[in-house]
Amino acid sequence: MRGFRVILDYPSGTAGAIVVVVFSLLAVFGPAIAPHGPFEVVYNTDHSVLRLSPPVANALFGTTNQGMDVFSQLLWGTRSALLVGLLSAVGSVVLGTAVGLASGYFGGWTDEVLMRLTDVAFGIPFLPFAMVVISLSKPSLGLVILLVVVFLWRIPARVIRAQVLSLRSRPFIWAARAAGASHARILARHIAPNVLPLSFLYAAIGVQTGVMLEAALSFLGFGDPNAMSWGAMLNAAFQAGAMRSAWWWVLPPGVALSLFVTAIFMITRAYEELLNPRLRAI
Amino acid sequence: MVGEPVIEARDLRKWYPVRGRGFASLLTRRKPEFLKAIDGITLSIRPGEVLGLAGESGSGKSTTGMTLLKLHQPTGGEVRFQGLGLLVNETNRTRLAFRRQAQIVFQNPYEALNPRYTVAQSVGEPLSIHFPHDRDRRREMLLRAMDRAGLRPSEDYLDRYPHQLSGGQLQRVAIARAISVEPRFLVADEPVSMLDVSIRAGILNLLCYFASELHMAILYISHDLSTMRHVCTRIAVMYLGRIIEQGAADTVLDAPLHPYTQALVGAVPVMAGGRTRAPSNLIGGPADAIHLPGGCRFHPRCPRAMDVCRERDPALDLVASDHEVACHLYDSLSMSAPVRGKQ
Repeated sequence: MRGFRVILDYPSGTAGAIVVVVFSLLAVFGPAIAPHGPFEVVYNTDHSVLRLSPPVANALFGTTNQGMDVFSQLLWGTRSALLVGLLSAVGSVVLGTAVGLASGYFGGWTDEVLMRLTDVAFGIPFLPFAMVVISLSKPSLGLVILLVVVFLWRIPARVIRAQVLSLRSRPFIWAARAAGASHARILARHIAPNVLPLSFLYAAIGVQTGVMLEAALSFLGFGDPNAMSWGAMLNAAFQAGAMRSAWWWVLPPGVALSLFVTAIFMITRAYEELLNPRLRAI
Repeated sequence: MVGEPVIEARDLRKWYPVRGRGFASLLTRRKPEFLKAIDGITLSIRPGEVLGLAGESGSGKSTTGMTLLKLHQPTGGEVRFQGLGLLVNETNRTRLAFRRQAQIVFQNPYEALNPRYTVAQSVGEPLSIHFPHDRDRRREMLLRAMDRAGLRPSEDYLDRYPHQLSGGQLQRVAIARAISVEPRFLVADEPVSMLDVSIRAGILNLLCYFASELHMAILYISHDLSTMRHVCTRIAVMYLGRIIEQGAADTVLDAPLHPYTQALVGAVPVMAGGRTRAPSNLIGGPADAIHLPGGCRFHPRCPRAMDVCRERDPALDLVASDHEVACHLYDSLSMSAPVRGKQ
């Protein structure tokens, strides 16, 4: 947790960390404190639907055109946004780190094959690719996560390969080899610990990108229809033609998305300065 | 020196392909070129013997050390360890057995230790690889190695990290790590060239002690002939991947035969009032190891080059007892047929 403490040395890092912690708490406890379900209709006392209402007492952030509570939707949406962000970040970084380690350490044909594969991955344009795949199958949160992983692993793979290439020729790696250390031991004990800080950086960037891409897909109508998310809220508002009129509907998911993405960016900035001392000297 | 050689190399070669590998090189049909880092080396080291490997940068000294330890795979030739070939019967068990017996100390002590490891972890790593189930023995060997490497008292060092130690201390840690498993063969690759002059003698004395008291066979690689007289029993001089002169340390240093060795010895600074030598009269710099000159590879720089040098590659011939040289100047002295290093 030494790295985490260094993030807090930077004001921007601290601010970002606070925002992310608040969002994480909302993702965990939000659905429990949400007054309504994500697709539940709110009624007036006279049993009529509370339709497209600005904030009132029994709908803190107002309601949608179908009478659903925006506040509750926002809380449920936080959970799916962070779920997609976290899982796709972990998935892409684990895959990318594994590819980068194998490619950089073993070199030769392993490197050749893995890096040509990475080249192909670098050619994938995310939105068109994801829209085609989702159209051909059933949209779900799991599929979105998988698509984001397929899109994101390429960057940590390249960066970590480069790092391993420079580590591999350091004398202490030769010394380990001379001592009789196996490939597995050298990778696990000597190389991985020296590239993990980079993996963490790409994990943070992965969370941010995952959340953004999920919102983009949902906004375009390719999200999981059974899961509420920030993008899905914006999509519903857009389809209802309420983007300009119902500010209370558009603002919460838009602000949440921007705030979260900016917070992660501030954390990665602080973390990058930690990794790259040249940025520190100003 | 007594005993069978611990390590022997016969006609050892290490060539690096110069053109890239992979798809591109499969498609283009160009004749492959090689950088001949080692081009036919024959040597042997007995227990208690320190063989100095001298030569300028790029002559293949370090590659020779790494290849003898099988850290590089040789392109050709043979390495035998205690009479057993190393290229054949390569199983995991024989690999580990060899790794236990042959160790290396690198030039740069600041880079030779994992920065995240404490001294105890670094020195203990070879032990935990080779004696994974014997904790007490590991502890005992760890402390013995630290003591032998002059890290006393060891408690002062065990929990330190590399960035908390000086260069000389780090090199002693690297040495303790190498000798922790009590190897029979040690490669010391320029172990003092990055250290302060004042602490070099201490490190060199350690090497002498390992050879004379622990009967290790040591390959001492250096470009610095002045340290060699102190440490080495024998000296081999390398030029562009080949040994061009080899013999007892005093013989090679005091009566060098090969013009290249003569130039190297002449370049060593001499104290005022001591012996003086003619300044070096070599021509230009070393040829490039990809496009070696025909004949003797030294002839373009040699002040005494003859016609035959441009045509025939000289073999390493025995010209006096325990003194071999690869030079046409001594063809008439050659004792009977060439003994080793036939070309």
